[in-house]
Amino acid sequence: MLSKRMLGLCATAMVAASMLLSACGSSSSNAGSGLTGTLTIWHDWAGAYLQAKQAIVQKYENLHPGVTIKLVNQTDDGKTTSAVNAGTGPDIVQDPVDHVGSLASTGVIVPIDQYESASDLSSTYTNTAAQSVQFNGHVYGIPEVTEVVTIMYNTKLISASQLPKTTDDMLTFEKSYSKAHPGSYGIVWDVNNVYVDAGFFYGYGATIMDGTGNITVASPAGVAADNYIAQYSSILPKDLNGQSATALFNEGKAAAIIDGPWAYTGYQTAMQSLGSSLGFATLPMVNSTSTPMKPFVGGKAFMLTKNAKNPQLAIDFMKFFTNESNQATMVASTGEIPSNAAAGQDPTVTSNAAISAFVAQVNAGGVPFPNTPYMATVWTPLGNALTAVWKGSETPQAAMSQAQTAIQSAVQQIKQQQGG
Amino acid sequence: MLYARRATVAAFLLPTFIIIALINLYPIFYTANLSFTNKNAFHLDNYHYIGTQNYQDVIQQTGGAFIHVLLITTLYVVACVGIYVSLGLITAMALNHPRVKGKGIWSILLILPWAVPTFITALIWKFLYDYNFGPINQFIRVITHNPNAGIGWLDQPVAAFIAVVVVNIWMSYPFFMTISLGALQSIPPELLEAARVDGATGWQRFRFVMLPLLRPALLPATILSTITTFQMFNTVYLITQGGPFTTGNINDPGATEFLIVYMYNRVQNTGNIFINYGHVATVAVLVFAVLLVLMLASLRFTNLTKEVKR
Amino acid sequence: MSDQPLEALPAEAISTVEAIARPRSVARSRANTADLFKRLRDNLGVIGIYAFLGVMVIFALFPIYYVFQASFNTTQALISTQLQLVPQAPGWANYQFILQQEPFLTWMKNSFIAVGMATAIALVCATTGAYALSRFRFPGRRFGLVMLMVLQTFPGLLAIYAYEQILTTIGLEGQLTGLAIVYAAGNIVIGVWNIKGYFDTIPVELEEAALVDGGNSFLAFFRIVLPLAAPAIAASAILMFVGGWNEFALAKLLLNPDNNNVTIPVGLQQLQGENSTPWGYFAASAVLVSLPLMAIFLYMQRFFKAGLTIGGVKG
Repeated sequence: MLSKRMLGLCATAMVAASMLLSACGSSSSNAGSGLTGTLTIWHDWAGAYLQAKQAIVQKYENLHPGVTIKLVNQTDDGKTTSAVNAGTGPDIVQDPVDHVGSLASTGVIVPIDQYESASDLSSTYTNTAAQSVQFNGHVYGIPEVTEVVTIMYNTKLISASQLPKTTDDMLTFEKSYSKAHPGSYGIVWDVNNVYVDAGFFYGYGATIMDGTGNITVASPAGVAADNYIAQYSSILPKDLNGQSATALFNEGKAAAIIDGPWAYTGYQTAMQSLGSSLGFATLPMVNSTSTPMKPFVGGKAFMLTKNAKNPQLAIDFMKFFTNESNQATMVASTGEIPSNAAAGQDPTVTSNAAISAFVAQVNAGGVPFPNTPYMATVWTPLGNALTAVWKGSETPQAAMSQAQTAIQSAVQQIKQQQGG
Repeated sequence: MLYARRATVAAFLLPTFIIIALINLYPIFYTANLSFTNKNAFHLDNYHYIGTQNYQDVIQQTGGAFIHVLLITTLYVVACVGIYVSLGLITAMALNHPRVKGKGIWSILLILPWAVPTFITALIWKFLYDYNFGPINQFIRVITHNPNAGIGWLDQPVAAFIAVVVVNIWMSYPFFMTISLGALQSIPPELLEAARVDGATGWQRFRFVMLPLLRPALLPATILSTITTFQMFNTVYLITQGGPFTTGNINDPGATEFLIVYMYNRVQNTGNIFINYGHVATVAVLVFAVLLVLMLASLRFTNLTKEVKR
Repeated sequence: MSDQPLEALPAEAISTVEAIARPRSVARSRANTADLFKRLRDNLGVIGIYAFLGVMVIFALFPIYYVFQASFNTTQALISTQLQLVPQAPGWANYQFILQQEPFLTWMKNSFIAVGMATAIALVCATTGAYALSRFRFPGRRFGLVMLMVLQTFPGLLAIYAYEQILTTIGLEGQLTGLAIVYAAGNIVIGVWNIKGYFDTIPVELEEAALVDGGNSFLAFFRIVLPLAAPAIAASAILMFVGGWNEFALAKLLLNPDNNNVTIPVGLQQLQGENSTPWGYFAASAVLVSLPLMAIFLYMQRFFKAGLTIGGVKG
């Protein structure tokens, strides 16, 4: 019985091998005439986003009838890592750029300098986007889009002049708005989310993470930032999070929200159904440092995994996806900042209120979203610390230094793993 | 008892043995082996043995909190299992009452929570518990006429603990209701009637007639569920991530950070790209050791092996 | 099938069994003398039972009702600052989306394949294993039965790499069949315990007669015992099926995430964006996912009555 099964397995293996061989044969004989093959992409697109992205994929498949592209929503990098190492991973991963360093350092993704040099990158893509995919002197991906958080507001509830220019203004505005409108709130956001709160920390002069693993959230600047955020806990809903912030804003129960392009289409629809429209404003200036809030300027990128069977095809697809015309069409519905510099200058893009607002935020202040591997250590400890302070169970000083210690030790662990 | 040749007995046991050896036994050895290596995201192929380093690391990382975690986990398990087994049994007895009409409808309605995928269950309940927008608090506000009323279900340690216990009861009692109902229906009504005639009170009939007959049916199921509850990860993780965390100190366990959740959070502290396979394996071995001791103790305590005597 | 020897019953039960022998008329005459108060008290008991069942149904159904009404809410937002018990903008859009836009039916098919196979494999193992444990005496028999349970204490979720390695070796990694084998292993123990309990109640004389007539153990097993044990097998199958149908974590970790290769819970989870939860779609899918199980429960309920004997209480 067992031997029969083994025979069966061998037969399957042989069939698979012969198929593989014939596939290789056909692709090499077709080289030059046109691209063929199958590309698997693991991505994080969902909902309305996915439709805009699928349109480009469709276009590429129509252009190259021999190419099939499989889109798979898969965002767990642990799974990506183990699948790629087992040889069952995708050809391309589309991921936030803070994952570039970790995926590169563990060898899940491979450098693509031979297909796209650093200078090629900077001639096609915006400087921010080009920088975000470079790690340890190599190019590790093609940037898809750039993202940043900014203020979006309900034009029916407040006017542009009411929006705070400084952090002190913002606190005053929050207090006065909910006083004037009981049950409603001035500005809401995902208050304990490290990504969204980063703007405060960097505005106050603290560093959440840099390329060497340095973190200064426990410095006076970091503590001051958290202290500032915690002042809102007595005004805003108790367990305010991303979802409830969105709901409040969509229902007209919050005048403004700090959020990014991924949420923009939803807000626009909601504002329409409220008979209002969506306004934009840049984040305020921090009074104590006289510097603007500096949110993470991040984004998404396509990266080539070490499983990619046909790198040329994969790179060709990435470049096609991010060419001027495709980007201009795509961002019109997604509100993301195009990574393609020329697309950013396209009249349809420059006249797009949402994209212009996000670009304005990048110009007003922002820090590149760190793409170091150490970024992976930040989220949980700092998130827990922010939550503990928000709920009043710890002081900013204690929570920030505990988080910093935890993150430093995790960084140390990664360095040790890397070493031996 | 039948007589059979050894080969025949072996043939009957073979399918079970193959699957158990492959899926239950082999992973234990594989994992134990892995726990002595430095396999991690940077050393996936070129890993080597590093002695008990992983054990030292994991014990150092979890430190004195381990006992605390074990205690809250035990409390969670006792609360969950105690309540859902009783609730399942009581519901089954209610349904089995000779004068209750519409048994089919009642039991279908009561079994429904079992039909909801666990991951959806977690999302639903997380939402029901939301402080500002969850229907539970909204309901409290409606009946108290106080727009500021409400319980911080997922914010306060005790409330969060109760919250995850309730979710587990909700999703687990239908299983015990079903098993108890099956067992109850197989008890000849004459037996209970006879006891009643003998003047046994309701409690006595339950304690001395029903329970002894239900015991063999409920005991294995209860032990299995206890194990599953000890290993509870998904539901709790999806609802609270182990929180609420009252400090920024990563080593202080959250109020619902039960054994596996706690271990998972510790080994994930470098982000889930940098999985330290050696550490994960070490945690698995340690958890296995703890549960094994508890299991063997419970086997001794409940005399489960006696059920196998025939 | 009430061949269970009296010795096997606990001592407390024996006296009551003996009591059955008394004439029925005694009970009846006592019932006749019951006064009005007693009847009232009896009715209060039944009312209490109905009240209890009512509370339980509310507890069981409120979360489900909430999802059900949300499945008809076309705004995708579940969060509202007001208590909302009926959908805001009712419609079928969520169901349409799930059934048309997403390969929901493929996911359902995959779930049926994986869980169905797991149930089949586990039943083959559990019936044969339970038969050996019930009918034959061999060294390590009791140890093996308890060991099945003890092995469950190993946290499989943390041994995912071991599963991956085994499945890769036998060429099933990422596939539904591979997942089915892992599920099957988890199902065997409950199957063995339940089915063995039932086998124990089937008189061994039937098989002995068959063996004397020149049959072998396998024939006796297939021809005599299996058909008789149908209720227990069906009940075990349901328990196994339900467990697998709802399982998320192992499926998520072990399956190739290709949208056409995943089971329902994984497919649904993939609908979730990083910053948004499409509640309407989730709710509609939750309703659709539960339907097959409800149908199974409805149809198979009679087997629960006859076939659930984990540990063996059949009298």
